[in-house]
Amino acid sequence: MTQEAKLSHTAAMILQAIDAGLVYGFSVMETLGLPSGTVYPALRRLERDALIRSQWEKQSIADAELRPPRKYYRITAAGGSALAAAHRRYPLLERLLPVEEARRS
Amino acid sequence: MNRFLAAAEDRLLCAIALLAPSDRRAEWLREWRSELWHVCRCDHRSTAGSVDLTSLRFCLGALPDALEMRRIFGAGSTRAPIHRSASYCLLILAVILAASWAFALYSRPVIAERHTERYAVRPGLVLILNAHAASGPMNSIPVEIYRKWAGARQRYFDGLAFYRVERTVLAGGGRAVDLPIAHSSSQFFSLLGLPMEIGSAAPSSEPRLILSDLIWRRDFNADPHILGRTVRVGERLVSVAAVLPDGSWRLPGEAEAWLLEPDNAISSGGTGYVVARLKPDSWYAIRNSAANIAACDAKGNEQNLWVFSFSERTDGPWRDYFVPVFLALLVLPGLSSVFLSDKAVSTIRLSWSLTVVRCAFGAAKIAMILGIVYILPVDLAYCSTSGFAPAASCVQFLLTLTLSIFGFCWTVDDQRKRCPVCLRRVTHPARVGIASRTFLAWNGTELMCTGGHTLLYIPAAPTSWFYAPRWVYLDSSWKFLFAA
Repeated sequence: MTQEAKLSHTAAMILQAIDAGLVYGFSVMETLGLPSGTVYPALRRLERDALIRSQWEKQSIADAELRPPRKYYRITAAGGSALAAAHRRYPLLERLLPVEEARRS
Repeated sequence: MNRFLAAAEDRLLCAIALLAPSDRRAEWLREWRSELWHVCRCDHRSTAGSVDLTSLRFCLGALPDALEMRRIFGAGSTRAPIHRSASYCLLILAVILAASWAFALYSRPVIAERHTERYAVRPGLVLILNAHAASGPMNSIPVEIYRKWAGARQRYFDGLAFYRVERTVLAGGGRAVDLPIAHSSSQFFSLLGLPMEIGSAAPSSEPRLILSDLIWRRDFNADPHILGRTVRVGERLVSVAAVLPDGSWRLPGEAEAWLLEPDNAISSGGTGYVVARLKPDSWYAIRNSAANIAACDAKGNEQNLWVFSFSERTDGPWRDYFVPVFLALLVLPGLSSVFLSDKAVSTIRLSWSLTVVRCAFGAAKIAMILGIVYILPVDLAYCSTSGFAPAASCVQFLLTLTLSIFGFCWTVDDQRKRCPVCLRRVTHPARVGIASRTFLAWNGTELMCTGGHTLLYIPAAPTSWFYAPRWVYLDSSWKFLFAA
Protein backbone atom coordinates (compact mmCIF):
# COMPACT_ATOMS: atom_id res chain seq x y z
CA MET A 1 0.00 0.00 0.00
CA THR A 2 2.87 2.27 0.78
CA GLN A 3 4.47 1.55 -2.58
CA GLU A 4 1.21 2.28 -4.40
CA ALA A 5 0.93 5.66 -2.73
CA LYS A 6 4.47 6.58 -3.86
CA LEU A 7 3.97 5.75 -7.53
CA SER A 8 4.05 8.95 -9.55
CA HIS A 9 2.35 9.34 -12.93
CA THR A 10 5.69 8.96 -14.76
CA ALA A 11 6.60 5.88 -12.75
CA ALA A 12 3.14 4.45 -13.42
CA MET A 13 3.61 5.09 -17.17
CA ILE A 14 6.98 3.32 -17.16
CA LEU A 15 5.53 0.42 -15.17
CA GLN A 16 2.67 0.24 -17.65
CA ALA A 17 5.18 0.23 -20.53
CA ILE A 18 7.17 -2.62 -19.01
CA ASP A 19 3.96 -4.55 -18.37
CA ALA A 20 3.05 -3.94 -21.99
CA GLY A 21 6.24 -5.69 -23.10
CA LEU A 22 8.66 -2.83 -23.58
CA VAL A 23 11.37 -4.51 -21.57
CA TYR A 24 14.41 -2.34 -22.39
CA GLY A 25 15.13 1.16 -21.13
CA PHE A 26 15.61 2.60 -24.60
CA SER A 27 12.35 1.12 -25.92
CA VAL A 28 10.51 2.69 -22.97
CA MET A 29 12.13 6.00 -23.84
CA GLU A 30 11.16 5.78 -27.48
CA THR A 31 7.56 4.79 -26.84
CA LEU A 32 6.81 7.23 -24.03
CA GLY A 33 8.94 10.08 -25.43
CA LEU A 34 10.69 10.53 -22.11
CA PRO A 35 14.40 11.48 -21.85
CA SER A 36 16.97 8.98 -20.63
CA GLY A 37 17.59 11.10 -17.53
CA THR A 38 14.00 10.39 -16.48
CA VAL A 39 13.51 6.79 -17.53
CA TYR A 40 16.64 5.13 -16.13
CA PRO A 41 16.52 6.70 -12.64
CA ALA A 42 12.83 5.73 -12.50
CA LEU A 43 13.77 2.16 -13.40
CA ARG A 44 16.28 2.13 -10.50
CA ARG A 45 13.60 3.25 -8.07
CA LEU A 46 11.07 0.73 -9.35
CA GLU A 47 13.67 -2.02 -9.02
CA ARG A 48 14.62 -0.85 -5.54
CA ASP A 49 10.95 -1.07 -4.52
CA ALA A 50 10.79 -4.59 -6.04
CA LEU A 51 8.08 -3.57 -8.52
CA ILE A 52 10.27 -4.73 -11.39
CA ARG A 53 13.30 -6.97 -11.64
CA SER A 54 16.14 -6.86 -14.12
CA GLN A 55 18.03 -9.60 -15.87
CA TRP A 56 20.85 -9.65 -18.40
CA GLU A 57 20.17 -11.19 -21.76
CA LYS A 58 22.13 -14.34 -22.53
CA GLN A 59 25.42 -13.62 -24.23
CA SER A 60 24.78 -16.30 -26.86
CA ILE A 61 21.61 -14.57 -28.04
CA ALA A 62 23.41 -11.24 -28.33
CA ASP A 63 26.35 -12.84 -30.11
CA ALA A 64 24.04 -14.47 -32.62
CA GLU A 65 22.60 -11.06 -33.47
CA LEU A 66 26.03 -9.36 -33.47
CA ARG A 67 25.16 -6.84 -30.77
CA PRO A 68 25.94 -6.29 -27.11
CA PRO A 69 23.66 -8.03 -24.59
CA ARG A 70 20.89 -5.92 -23.10
CA LYS A 71 19.48 -5.68 -19.66
CA TYR A 72 15.76 -6.25 -19.68
CA TYR A 73 13.11 -5.59 -17.07
CA ARG A 74 10.09 -7.64 -15.95
CA ILE A 75 7.23 -6.59 -13.77
CA THR A 76 6.89 -8.48 -10.46
CA ALA A 77 3.76 -9.53 -8.58
CA ALA A 78 4.11 -6.50 -6.33
CA GLY A 79 4.52 -4.40 -9.45
CA GLY A 80 1.31 -5.85 -10.87
CA SER A 81 -0.59 -4.86 -7.75
CA ALA A 82 0.93 -1.40 -7.84
CA LEU A 83 0.00 -1.03 -11.49
CA ALA A 84 -3.59 -2.07 -10.76
CA ALA A 85 -3.77 0.58 -8.09
CA ALA A 86 -2.24 3.09 -10.51
CA HIS A 87 -4.96 2.29 -13.04
CA ARG A 88 -7.55 3.21 -10.46
CA ARG A 89 -5.71 6.39 -9.66
CA TYR A 90 -4.91 7.33 -13.29
CA PRO A 91 -7.87 6.02 -15.36
CA LEU A 92 -6.38 7.19 -18.69
CA LEU A 93 -3.18 5.22 -18.17
CA GLU A 94 -4.50 2.10 -19.90
CA ARG A 95 -5.68 4.12 -22.88
CA LEU A 96 -2.33 5.87 -23.12
CA LEU A 97 -0.50 2.63 -23.77
CA PRO A 98 -2.73 -0.43 -24.21
CA VAL A 99 -0.92 -3.67 -23.60
CA GLU A 100 -1.96 -5.33 -26.87
CA GLU A 101 -1.02 -2.31 -28.97
CA ALA A 102 2.36 -2.01 -27.31
CA ARG A 103 3.11 -5.66 -27.82
CA ARG A 104 2.23 -5.33 -31.52
CA SER A 105 4.67 -2.42 -31.85
CA MET B 1 33.94 12.75 -37.05
CA ASN B 2 31.31 10.28 -35.92
CA ARG B 3 34.02 7.90 -34.68
CA PHE B 4 35.55 10.70 -32.68
CA LEU B 5 32.18 11.60 -31.16
CA ALA B 6 31.46 7.96 -30.34
CA ALA B 7 34.75 7.74 -28.48
CA ALA B 8 33.97 11.00 -26.68
CA GLU B 9 30.55 9.67 -25.65
CA ASP B 10 32.16 6.53 -24.31
CA ARG B 11 34.64 8.60 -22.31
CA LEU B 12 31.76 10.69 -21.02
CA LEU B 13 29.97 7.57 -19.81
CA CYS B 14 33.19 6.36 -18.15
CA ALA B 15 33.58 9.69 -16.38
CA ILE B 16 29.97 9.73 -15.21
CA ALA B 17 30.36 6.13 -14.04
CA LEU B 18 32.73 7.38 -11.34
CA LEU B 19 29.69 8.84 -9.61
CA ALA B 20 28.01 5.46 -9.40
CA PRO B 21 28.71 3.21 -6.39
CA SER B 22 31.95 1.32 -6.98
CA ASP B 23 30.42 -2.13 -6.47
CA ARG B 24 27.74 -1.44 -9.13
CA ARG B 25 29.81 0.69 -11.47
CA ALA B 26 30.80 -2.03 -13.93
CA GLU B 27 27.26 -3.29 -14.42
CA TRP B 28 25.92 0.26 -14.68
CA LEU B 29 28.47 1.13 -17.37
CA ARG B 30 27.78 -2.10 -19.24
CA GLU B 31 24.04 -1.31 -19.42
CA TRP B 32 24.60 2.26 -20.61
CA ARG B 33 27.11 1.18 -23.26
CA SER B 34 24.70 -1.45 -24.51
CA GLU B 35 21.83 0.98 -24.66
CA LEU B 36 24.02 3.57 -26.40
CA TRP B 37 24.87 1.03 -29.08
CA HIS B 38 21.16 0.57 -29.76
CA VAL B 39 20.52 4.31 -29.72
CA CYS B 40 23.23 4.89 -32.33
CA ARG B 41 21.97 2.05 -34.52
CA CYS B 42 18.38 3.25 -34.29
CA ASP B 43 19.33 6.80 -35.21
CA HIS B 44 21.49 5.62 -38.13
CA ARG B 45 18.36 4.03 -39.53
CA SER B 46 16.38 7.26 -39.30
CA THR B 47 18.34 10.39 -40.15
CA ALA B 48 22.06 10.64 -40.62
CA GLY B 49 22.25 14.29 -39.59
CA SER B 50 20.87 14.02 -36.06
CA VAL B 51 22.74 10.92 -34.96
CA ASP B 52 25.38 12.48 -32.76
CA LEU B 53 23.12 14.99 -31.08
CA THR B 54 20.58 12.34 -30.09
CA SER B 55 23.17 9.94 -28.74
CA LEU B 56 24.87 12.77 -26.88
CA ARG B 57 21.54 13.78 -25.30
CA PHE B 58 21.06 10.16 -24.38
CA CYS B 59 24.51 10.03 -22.70
CA LEU B 60 23.79 13.14 -20.67
CA GLY B 61 20.87 11.28 -19.12
CA ALA B 62 23.44 9.01 -17.50
CA LEU B 63 24.34 11.76 -15.07
CA PRO B 64 21.05 11.83 -13.12
CA ASP B 65 20.95 8.06 -13.33
CA ALA B 66 24.41 7.71 -11.74
CA LEU B 67 23.45 10.17 -9.03
CA GLU B 68 20.24 8.25 -8.39
CA MET B 69 22.24 5.01 -8.16
CA ARG B 70 24.54 6.67 -5.66
CA ARG B 71 21.60 7.93 -3.63
CA ILE B 72 19.88 4.55 -3.58
CA PHE B 73 22.81 2.17 -3.21
CA GLY B 74 25.72 4.38 -2.14
CA ALA B 75 24.80 4.84 1.53
CA GLY B 76 25.06 1.23 2.47
CA SER B 77 27.88 0.02 0.31
CA THR B 78 30.44 2.79 0.05
CA ARG B 79 29.94 5.32 2.80
CA ALA B 80 29.61 3.09 5.82
CA PRO B 81 33.02 1.41 5.75
CA ILE B 82 34.96 4.54 4.78
CA HIS B 83 35.92 5.25 8.38
CA ARG B 84 37.71 1.90 8.41
CA SER B 85 39.65 2.54 5.20
CA ALA B 86 43.38 3.25 5.06
CA SER B 87 42.92 6.57 3.30
CA TYR B 88 40.53 7.79 6.02
CA CYS B 89 43.09 6.85 8.68
CA LEU B 90 45.86 8.72 6.88
CA LEU B 91 43.53 11.68 6.32
CA ILE B 92 42.79 11.99 10.05
CA LEU B 93 46.50 11.83 10.91
CA ALA B 94 47.29 14.39 8.19
CA VAL B 95 44.61 16.76 9.52
CA ILE B 96 46.01 16.52 13.08
CA LEU B 97 49.54 17.06 11.76
CA ALA B 98 48.50 20.00 9.57
CA ALA B 99 46.52 21.64 12.40
CA SER B 100 49.49 21.29 14.79
CA TRP B 101 51.84 22.66 12.15
CA ALA B 102 49.55 25.58 11.35
CA PHE B 103 49.31 26.47 15.04
CA ALA B 104 53.11 26.27 15.35
CA LEU B 105 53.46 28.68 12.44
CA TYR B 106 51.25 31.38 13.97
CA SER B 107 51.92 31.09 17.71
CA ARG B 108 54.71 33.51 18.72
CA PRO B 109 55.96 31.54 21.76
CA VAL B 110 56.08 28.36 19.69
CA ILE B 111 57.93 30.15 16.87
CA ALA B 112 60.43 31.48 19.39
CA GLU B 113 60.96 28.00 20.80
CA ARG B 114 61.45 26.50 17.34
CA HIS B 115 63.92 29.20 16.25
CA THR B 116 66.33 29.05 19.13
CA GLU B 117 69.21 30.00 16.85
CA ARG B 118 67.99 33.59 17.27
CA TYR B 119 68.55 33.25 20.98
CA ALA B 120 72.29 32.74 20.96
CA VAL B 121 73.32 33.75 24.47
CA ARG B 122 76.85 33.11 25.65
CA PRO B 123 77.57 29.77 27.31
CA GLY B 124 77.70 29.66 31.10
CA LEU B 125 74.90 32.16 31.66
CA VAL B 126 72.60 31.54 34.63
CA LEU B 127 69.61 33.20 36.24
CA ILE B 128 69.79 33.58 40.03
CA LEU B 129 66.57 33.25 42.02
CA ASN B 130 65.74 33.37 45.67
CA ALA B 131 65.00 29.76 46.68
CA HIS B 132 62.00 30.84 48.72
CA ALA B 133 60.57 32.55 45.66
CA ALA B 134 61.25 29.72 43.22
CA SER B 135 57.61 28.75 43.10
CA GLY B 136 56.42 32.39 42.99
CA PRO B 137 57.59 35.49 41.13
CA MET B 138 61.10 35.16 39.74
CA ASN B 139 62.11 38.79 40.20
CA SER B 140 63.06 38.10 43.78
CA ILE B 141 66.48 39.72 44.22
CA PRO B 142 66.53 43.28 45.70
CA VAL B 143 68.77 45.73 43.85
CA GLU B 144 70.70 46.42 47.08
CA ILE B 145 71.72 42.73 47.32
CA TYR B 146 72.76 42.78 43.69
CA ARG B 147 74.94 45.86 44.26
CA LYS B 148 76.60 44.08 47.17
CA TRP B 149 77.27 41.00 45.04
CA ALA B 150 78.53 43.07 42.14
CA GLY B 151 80.98 44.91 44.41
CA ALA B 152 82.30 41.74 46.10
CA ARG B 153 84.81 39.21 44.82
CA GLN B 154 82.98 36.27 43.27
CA ARG B 155 84.09 32.67 43.48
CA TYR B 156 81.93 31.21 40.70
CA PHE B 157 80.91 34.20 38.54
CA ASP B 158 82.92 36.58 36.37
CA GLY B 159 80.03 38.85 35.44
CA LEU B 160 76.72 39.96 36.95
CA ALA B 161 73.88 42.10 35.64
CA PHE B 162 70.53 43.21 37.03
CA TYR B 163 67.25 44.16 35.39
CA ARG B 164 63.80 45.05 36.60
CA VAL B 165 60.75 45.36 34.34
CA GLU B 166 58.45 48.33 35.02
CA ARG B 167 55.74 49.92 32.96
CA THR B 168 57.07 53.30 31.88
CA VAL B 169 55.91 55.88 29.38
CA LEU B 170 58.06 56.09 26.24
CA ALA B 171 57.70 59.26 24.14
CA GLY B 172 59.52 60.11 20.96
CA GLY B 173 57.97 57.99 18.28
CA GLY B 174 55.18 60.40 17.43
CA ARG B 175 53.01 59.37 20.39
CA ALA B 176 53.61 58.46 24.03
CA VAL B 177 53.10 54.78 24.82
CA ASP B 178 53.03 52.95 28.12
CA LEU B 179 55.44 50.00 27.74
CA PRO B 180 57.06 47.33 29.90
CA ILE B 181 60.65 48.63 30.00
CA ALA B 182 63.53 46.73 31.61
CA HIS B 183 65.75 48.98 33.72
CA SER B 184 69.03 47.15 33.32
CA SER B 185 72.69 47.26 34.15
CA SER B 186 74.78 48.91 31.43
CA GLN B 187 76.74 45.69 30.81
CA PHE B 188 73.56 43.61 30.55
CA PHE B 189 73.56 42.90 26.80
CA SER B 190 77.33 42.53 26.56
CA LEU B 191 77.02 39.88 29.29
CA LEU B 192 74.26 38.09 27.37
CA GLY B 193 76.12 38.41 24.09
CA LEU B 194 72.93 38.85 22.05
CA PRO B 195 73.55 40.29 18.57
CA MET B 196 71.68 43.49 17.73
CA GLU B 197 69.63 44.10 14.59
CA ILE B 198 71.13 47.58 14.25
CA GLY B 199 73.42 49.50 16.57
CA SER B 200 75.46 48.33 19.52
CA ALA B 201 74.71 47.69 23.20
CA ALA B 202 78.29 48.00 24.47
CA PRO B 203 78.63 49.24 28.08
CA SER B 204 78.63 53.01 28.53
CA SER B 205 78.43 55.48 31.39
CA GLU B 206 75.51 57.28 29.69
CA PRO B 207 71.98 55.82 29.90
CA ARG B 208 70.88 54.37 26.58
CA LEU B 209 67.76 52.68 25.26
CA ILE B 210 67.47 49.41 23.33
CA LEU B 211 64.22 48.94 21.41
CA SER B 212 62.56 45.68 20.50
CA ASP B 213 61.97 44.98 16.82
CA LEU B 214 58.21 45.23 17.40
CA ILE B 215 58.36 48.71 18.94
CA TRP B 216 60.88 49.93 16.36
CA ARG B 217 58.56 48.91 13.53
CA ARG B 218 55.27 49.88 15.17
CA ASP B 219 56.11 53.20 16.88
CA PHE B 220 59.15 54.36 14.90
CA ASN B 221 58.11 53.10 11.44
CA ALA B 222 61.31 51.03 11.20
CA ASP B 223 63.34 54.24 10.87
CA PRO B 224 66.88 53.16 9.80
CA HIS B 225 68.27 56.38 11.30
CA ILE B 226 66.85 55.74 14.76
CA LEU B 227 70.29 55.32 16.34
CA GLY B 228 71.21 58.35 18.43
CA ARG B 229 67.70 59.79 18.48
CA THR B 230 66.72 61.22 21.86
CA VAL B 231 63.52 59.89 23.38
CA ARG B 232 61.85 60.39 26.75
CA VAL B 233 61.60 57.40 29.12
CA GLY B 234 59.48 58.49 32.06
CA GLU B 235 61.06 61.78 33.07
CA ARG B 236 64.48 61.09 31.56
CA LEU B 237 65.92 61.83 28.15
CA VAL B 238 67.94 58.98 26.68
CA SER B 239 69.32 58.13 23.25
CA VAL B 240 68.44 55.01 21.27
CA ALA B 241 71.49 52.78 20.96
CA ALA B 242 70.28 49.62 19.24
CA VAL B 243 67.34 47.49 18.11
CA LEU B 244 67.03 43.89 19.34
CA PRO B 245 65.97 41.34 16.68
CA ASP B 246 62.55 39.72 16.94
CA GLY B 247 62.53 36.55 19.04
CA SER B 248 65.84 37.29 20.76
CA TRP B 249 64.43 38.07 24.19
CA ARG B 250 63.64 34.89 26.10
CA LEU B 251 64.52 35.87 29.63
CA PRO B 252 61.84 36.14 32.32
CA GLY B 253 59.76 39.31 32.27
CA GLU B 254 58.12 40.58 29.13
CA ALA B 255 59.97 43.70 28.02
CA GLU B 256 59.64 45.80 24.87
CA ALA B 257 62.55 48.16 25.57
CA TRP B 258 65.63 48.10 27.76
CA LEU B 259 67.05 51.13 29.54
CA LEU B 260 70.76 50.52 30.13
CA GLU B 261 72.21 52.56 32.98
CA PRO B 262 75.01 52.21 35.53
CA ASP B 263 74.22 50.01 38.52
CA ASN B 264 74.22 52.91 40.96
CA ALA B 265 71.71 54.80 38.77
CA ILE B 266 69.07 52.05 38.98
CA SER B 267 66.44 53.29 41.39
CA SER B 268 66.49 51.55 44.79
CA GLY B 269 63.59 49.58 46.19
CA GLY B 270 61.81 46.65 44.67
CA THR B 271 63.20 43.43 43.34
CA GLY B 272 64.45 42.23 39.97
CA TYR B 273 66.30 39.56 38.09
CA VAL B 274 70.00 38.82 38.32
CA VAL B 275 71.86 37.25 35.41
CA ALA B 276 75.38 35.92 35.96
CA ARG B 277 78.08 34.32 33.88
CA LEU B 278 79.89 31.34 35.33
CA LYS B 279 83.66 31.20 35.24
CA PRO B 280 84.76 28.46 32.82
CA ASP B 281 86.22 26.42 35.69
CA SER B 282 82.86 26.61 37.50
CA TRP B 283 80.70 25.14 34.73
CA TYR B 284 80.89 21.77 36.41
CA ALA B 285 78.77 23.22 39.25
CA ILE B 286 75.75 23.53 36.92
CA ARG B 287 75.70 20.17 35.24
CA ASN B 288 71.94 20.01 35.19
CA SER B 289 69.49 22.75 34.35
CA ALA B 290 69.33 24.01 37.95
CA ALA B 291 71.48 24.02 41.09
CA ASN B 292 71.27 25.25 44.63
CA ILE B 293 73.85 27.74 45.97
CA ALA B 294 74.19 29.92 49.07
CA ALA B 295 75.04 33.64 49.32
CA CYS B 296 75.00 36.40 51.94
CA ASP B 297 72.27 39.03 51.98
CA ALA B 298 72.67 42.73 52.84
CA LYS B 299 72.77 41.96 56.58
CA GLY B 300 75.39 39.20 56.14
CA ASN B 301 72.90 36.36 56.65
CA GLU B 302 73.25 33.29 54.46
CA GLN B 303 70.41 32.71 52.04
CA ASN B 304 69.57 29.87 49.68
CA LEU B 305 69.49 30.62 45.96
CA TRP B 306 68.50 28.70 42.85
CA VAL B 307 70.62 28.95 39.74
CA PHE B 308 69.01 28.15 36.38
CA SER B 309 71.15 27.58 33.35
CA PHE B 310 70.24 29.38 30.10
CA SER B 311 72.51 27.40 27.85
CA GLU B 312 70.31 24.33 27.61
CA ARG B 313 67.32 26.52 26.78
CA THR B 314 69.03 27.32 23.48
CA ASP B 315 68.99 23.71 22.31
CA GLY B 316 65.44 23.99 20.96
CA PRO B 317 62.61 21.47 21.16
CA TRP B 318 64.68 18.62 19.69
CA ARG B 319 66.36 18.08 23.05
CA ASP B 320 63.07 17.01 24.62
CA TYR B 321 62.01 14.98 21.57
CA PHE B 322 64.56 12.25 20.90
CA VAL B 323 64.91 10.99 24.45
CA PRO B 324 61.17 10.40 25.14
CA VAL B 325 60.68 8.89 21.68
CA PHE B 326 63.55 6.51 22.34
CA LEU B 327 62.09 5.65 25.76
CA ALA B 328 58.69 5.00 24.18
CA LEU B 329 60.29 2.62 21.68
CA LEU B 330 61.98 0.81 24.55
CA VAL B 331 58.77 0.27 26.52
CA LEU B 332 56.67 -0.57 23.45
CA PRO B 333 57.29 -4.35 23.50
CA GLY B 334 56.18 -4.42 27.13
CA LEU B 335 52.91 -2.64 26.43
CA SER B 336 51.83 -4.12 23.12
CA SER B 337 52.56 -7.21 21.11
CA VAL B 338 54.80 -6.28 18.22
CA PHE B 339 53.71 -9.22 16.04
CA LEU B 340 52.09 -7.85 12.92
CA SER B 341 49.97 -10.88 12.05
CA ASP B 342 51.77 -11.76 8.87
CA LYS B 343 51.22 -15.44 9.50
CA ALA B 344 48.48 -16.87 7.37
CA VAL B 345 46.87 -20.29 7.77
CA SER B 346 45.68 -20.29 4.16
CA THR B 347 47.80 -21.34 1.22
CA ILE B 348 47.03 -18.11 -0.62
CA ARG B 349 50.09 -15.91 -1.02
CA LEU B 350 49.79 -12.17 -1.17
CA SER B 351 51.30 -10.43 -4.17
CA TRP B 352 54.42 -8.39 -3.52
CA SER B 353 52.59 -5.21 -4.54
CA LEU B 354 50.03 -5.68 -1.74
CA THR B 355 52.85 -6.28 0.72
CA VAL B 356 54.62 -3.12 -0.45
CA VAL B 357 51.41 -1.10 -0.12
CA ARG B 358 50.85 -2.43 3.39
CA CYS B 359 54.41 -1.60 4.42
CA ALA B 360 54.10 1.87 2.87
CA PHE B 361 50.87 2.43 4.79
CA GLY B 362 52.59 1.45 8.05
CA ALA B 363 55.57 3.67 7.27
CA ALA B 364 53.29 6.61 6.46
CA LYS B 365 51.49 6.19 9.79
CA ILE B 366 54.75 6.07 11.73
CA ALA B 367 56.06 9.14 9.89
CA MET B 368 52.91 11.11 10.70
CA ILE B 369 52.89 9.94 14.32
CA LEU B 370 56.52 11.06 14.68
CA GLY B 371 55.58 14.43 13.19
CA ILE B 372 52.58 14.84 15.50
CA VAL B 373 54.62 13.74 18.51
CA TYR B 374 57.19 16.43 17.69
CA ILE B 375 54.87 19.35 16.96
CA LEU B 376 51.85 18.85 19.21
CA PRO B 377 53.74 18.76 22.57
CA VAL B 378 55.64 21.93 21.59
CA ASP B 379 52.34 23.63 20.75
CA LEU B 380 50.74 22.58 24.02
CA ALA B 381 53.76 23.24 26.24
CA TYR B 382 54.75 26.64 24.87
CA CYS B 383 51.46 28.15 23.68
CA SER B 384 50.92 30.13 26.89
CA THR B 385 54.54 30.80 27.86
CA SER B 386 56.41 34.05 27.50
CA GLY B 387 60.07 33.52 26.90
CA PHE B 388 61.65 31.94 29.96
CA ALA B 389 59.64 28.86 30.97
CA PRO B 390 61.59 26.08 32.68
CA ALA B 391 58.37 24.15 33.38
CA ALA B 392 57.42 24.12 29.69
CA SER B 393 60.40 21.93 28.92
CA CYS B 394 59.21 19.34 31.46
CA VAL B 395 55.67 19.54 30.07
CA GLN B 396 56.99 19.00 26.55
CA PHE B 397 59.04 16.02 27.69
CA LEU B 398 56.10 14.36 29.46
CA LEU B 399 53.67 15.08 26.60
CA THR B 400 56.14 13.72 24.04
CA LEU B 401 56.65 10.58 26.09
CA THR B 402 52.91 10.04 26.61
CA LEU B 403 51.97 10.73 22.99
CA SER B 404 54.84 8.56 21.73
CA ILE B 405 53.75 5.58 23.84
CA PHE B 406 50.09 5.91 22.84
CA GLY B 407 50.97 6.69 19.23
CA PHE B 408 53.29 3.71 18.77
CA CYS B 409 50.90 1.31 20.56
CA TRP B 410 48.04 2.52 18.36
CA THR B 411 50.15 2.24 15.20
CA VAL B 412 51.10 -1.36 15.92
CA ASP B 413 47.58 -2.32 16.98
CA ASP B 414 46.02 -0.61 13.95
CA GLN B 415 48.51 -2.19 11.55
CA ARG B 416 47.84 -5.60 13.06
CA LYS B 417 44.11 -5.23 12.49
CA ARG B 418 44.28 -4.04 8.87
CA CYS B 419 43.23 -6.53 6.22
CA PRO B 420 46.39 -7.33 4.18
CA VAL B 421 44.34 -7.22 0.97
CA CYS B 422 42.34 -3.98 1.20
CA LEU B 423 43.88 -2.36 4.35
CA ARG B 424 40.41 -1.93 5.88
CA ARG B 425 40.34 -2.35 9.64
CA VAL B 426 38.79 -5.69 10.57
CA THR B 427 35.66 -5.53 12.68
CA HIS B 428 32.74 -7.49 14.18
CA PRO B 429 34.76 -9.29 16.89
CA ALA B 430 33.35 -12.67 17.92
CA ARG B 431 34.49 -14.83 20.82
CA VAL B 432 35.25 -18.38 19.73
CA GLY B 433 35.94 -21.30 22.08
CA ILE B 434 36.06 -21.40 25.86
CA ALA B 435 38.93 -20.56 28.17
CA SER B 436 39.00 -23.96 29.90
CA ARG B 437 39.80 -25.65 26.60
CA THR B 438 42.61 -23.37 25.51
CA PHE B 439 45.08 -26.25 25.21
CA LEU B 440 42.62 -28.60 23.54
CA ALA B 441 40.93 -26.39 21.01
CA TRP B 442 41.10 -22.93 19.59
CA ASN B 443 40.09 -20.14 21.98
CA GLY B 444 40.19 -16.49 21.08
CA THR B 445 38.61 -13.68 19.08
CA GLU B 446 37.71 -13.71 15.44
CA LEU B 447 37.44 -10.50 13.42
CA MET B 448 36.49 -10.09 9.79
CA CYS B 449 37.17 -7.72 6.93
CA THR B 450 33.98 -6.02 5.75
CA GLY B 451 35.27 -6.35 2.21
CA GLY B 452 35.07 -10.13 2.54
CA HIS B 453 38.80 -10.74 2.03
CA THR B 454 40.05 -12.10 5.33
CA LEU B 455 39.35 -13.31 8.87
CA LEU B 456 41.74 -12.52 11.71
CA TYR B 457 42.20 -14.94 14.61
CA ILE B 458 43.66 -13.55 17.82
CA PRO B 459 44.38 -16.15 20.53
CA ALA B 460 43.05 -15.33 23.99
CA ALA B 461 46.10 -16.91 25.62
CA PRO B 462 49.25 -17.32 23.51
CA THR B 463 50.40 -20.92 23.34
CA SER B 464 53.43 -22.54 21.79
CA TRP B 465 51.36 -23.60 18.77
CA PHE B 466 49.36 -20.40 18.44
CA TYR B 467 51.06 -17.35 19.91
CA ALA B 468 50.59 -14.69 17.24
CA PRO B 469 47.42 -13.56 15.41
CA ARG B 470 46.77 -15.31 12.10
CA TRP B 471 45.00 -14.34 8.92
CA VAL B 472 42.66 -16.57 6.96
CA TYR B 473 42.13 -15.48 3.36
CA LEU B 474 38.58 -16.06 2.15
CA ASP B 475 37.97 -17.47 -1.31
CA SER B 476 35.15 -16.61 -3.68
CA SER B 477 32.71 -18.99 -1.96
CA TRP B 478 32.36 -16.37 0.82
CA LYS B 479 31.38 -13.56 -1.56
CA PHE B 480 27.64 -14.02 -1.12
CA LEU B 481 27.93 -13.18 2.57
CA PHE B 482 29.39 -9.77 1.81
CA ALA B 483 27.21 -8.85 -1.14
CA ALA B 484 25.65 -5.40 -0.75
